[in-house]
Amino acid sequence: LSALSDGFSLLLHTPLALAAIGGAGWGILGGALPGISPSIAMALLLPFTYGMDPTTAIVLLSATYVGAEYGGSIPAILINTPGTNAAAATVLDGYALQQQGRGGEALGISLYSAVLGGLFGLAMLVLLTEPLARVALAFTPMSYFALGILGLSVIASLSGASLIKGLAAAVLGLMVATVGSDPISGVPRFTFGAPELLDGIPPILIMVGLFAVSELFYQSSSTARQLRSTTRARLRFPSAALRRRLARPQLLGSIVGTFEGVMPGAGGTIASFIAYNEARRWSRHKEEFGQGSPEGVAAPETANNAVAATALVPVLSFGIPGSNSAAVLLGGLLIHGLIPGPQLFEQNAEVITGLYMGLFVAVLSLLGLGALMLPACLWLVNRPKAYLTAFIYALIFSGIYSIEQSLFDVGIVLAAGTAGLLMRIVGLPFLPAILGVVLGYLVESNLRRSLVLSGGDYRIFLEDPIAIALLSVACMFILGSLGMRAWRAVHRNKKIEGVTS
Amino acid sequence: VRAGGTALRVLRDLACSAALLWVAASYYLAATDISRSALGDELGARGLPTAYAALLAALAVLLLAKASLGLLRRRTARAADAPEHGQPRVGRTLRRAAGVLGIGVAYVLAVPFIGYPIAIAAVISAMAVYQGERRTVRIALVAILGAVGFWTFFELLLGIPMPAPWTS
Repeated sequence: LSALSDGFSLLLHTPLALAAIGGAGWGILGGALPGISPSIAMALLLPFTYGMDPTTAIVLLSATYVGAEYGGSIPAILINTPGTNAAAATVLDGYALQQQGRGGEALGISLYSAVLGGLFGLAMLVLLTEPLARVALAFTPMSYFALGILGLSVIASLSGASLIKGLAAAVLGLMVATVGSDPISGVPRFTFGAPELLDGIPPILIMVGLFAVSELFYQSSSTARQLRSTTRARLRFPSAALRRRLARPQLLGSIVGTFEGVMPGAGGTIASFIAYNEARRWSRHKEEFGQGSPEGVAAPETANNAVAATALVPVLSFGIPGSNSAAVLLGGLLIHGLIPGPQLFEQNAEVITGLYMGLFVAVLSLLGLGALMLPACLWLVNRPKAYLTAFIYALIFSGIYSIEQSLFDVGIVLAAGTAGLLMRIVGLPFLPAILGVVLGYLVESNLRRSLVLSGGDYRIFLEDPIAIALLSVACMFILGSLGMRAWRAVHRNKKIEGVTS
Repeated sequence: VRAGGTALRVLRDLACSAALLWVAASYYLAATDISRSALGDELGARGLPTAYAALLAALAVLLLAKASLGLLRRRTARAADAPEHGQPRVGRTLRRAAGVLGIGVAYVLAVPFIGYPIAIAAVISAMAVYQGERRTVRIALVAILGAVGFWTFFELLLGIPMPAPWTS
């Protein structure tokens, strides 16, 4: 209680609330621009934090992270372009809703879910930092490999009509993830002499290419003189009935997001895909998933915003930055002489209390900021189609170039867009491919690190309790999805027989 | 992609399996070029790529088999197929997409010479014209305003150095 009162006093007497709201607003803007990742949005603010007091600086950076994780969903829903990696799972149903003229509703669901996920993650951060930190510390390369396999296990659910094509798309994604320096020996693979490829291909380039550029390619052939989009230019929060329906996927998303957040390196992308998969598994409206399901927007959005809060656990407890954004935050802590670890909670308790209060304000402010910014975004996507597509193309070129100031990256996005168009034509789904790209490096590097540790003995995976648990859950996911597909196929065949007879 | 009938769907699967086989073979050949390192582990730098190539080839063969079976079952399946109307044809899709891709490639090639503001204005106007807009003055105004807006945001506000003319 005394900490709580200290926190409120900090909020009233320092520019903490302003930093929280300003950071969240800046983060939303950064996250909404393809190419400006949460880490870039944070890094751009870093020089301004030198003159601030430590608490305000840390709140500003963390609030930017929270805002950016939410902001990624805005272009995902409106223009089929995930602003951040973690928003990739939101594209499927969010953009489908937008195409049905329900973009305002999808944005309302994503905003509402983001706030709930953020608050849940924050509560877990405050209440369970110590036990959650122990979970993070217990992770070995074997556990990370198993975590990657768990992420890949949802492929069957994301494969759409054809499991074979879904698996093939995932393998294509895994192949893309092998481009660059080998994770163990460092030898270049599939770089064809291009130094730009030595660091691998960032997943965001593939995502923007597959989703956004291929959509522009595809839409360029539509003959209908569709001068204006049919989206209702009004932000709509979910009704009471819809809120009840969304409760289950939001709870699943919150739980998945909490645990994925505390594992350094796991991040919001795996969390949002697993949450999407689980929401679909437990939904009473499975058939709506992929066609514009509100639950398909709520689950991943809750999960990746819960991650934004719980991802601070390994940073604050051990100084382990699990992502680029966490690394920037760690930089912010170190600039102000704050050394992460148990002593941070004892010696700088006011910074931690201020951080919690600042994050609380930042998460709540998403509602107000969203209500202010989203109508403008909806207005923008209702402009004449010729100009809208022209501006999206220009935004993609500018945003992608701004990541590394590289025209090579723009070329990769165009190539990925071409591949995406061909994938559409032959019916290969995008999401398994994205999952392969995102998880490929995690799986390979940790598989091989584990084998180095064991001298090539695969039994090492059976000696790690976390790996066993995660692999068991992955097996259950795979068997469950395959069983469900088989049941549906039998059901469909019976229906066809009924029709033909 | 008008793929209403089962025959077209089967054709699409056959094309897909052929493309996947080609990717698997090319990727495998490129994987054999990966040099071996003394620092390598049991699996080596080629290990997983080779496995991925084999897996993709196997999936392509499975898809081929499934598509062939689909041809045999065509009559049965036709009853349950709902034709997909209102989607553009593959040929037209590819032709139109090639134009959009061409605008993108032209941007990448030209931006080091003409600089970001002019190049991005050219992209906006070219795309608008390509999408059927015909009001020249309006196109020019929107392109100039758009380019100034993008340049102000990225260069001035974010401080990101966008391509200047004649940098290459």
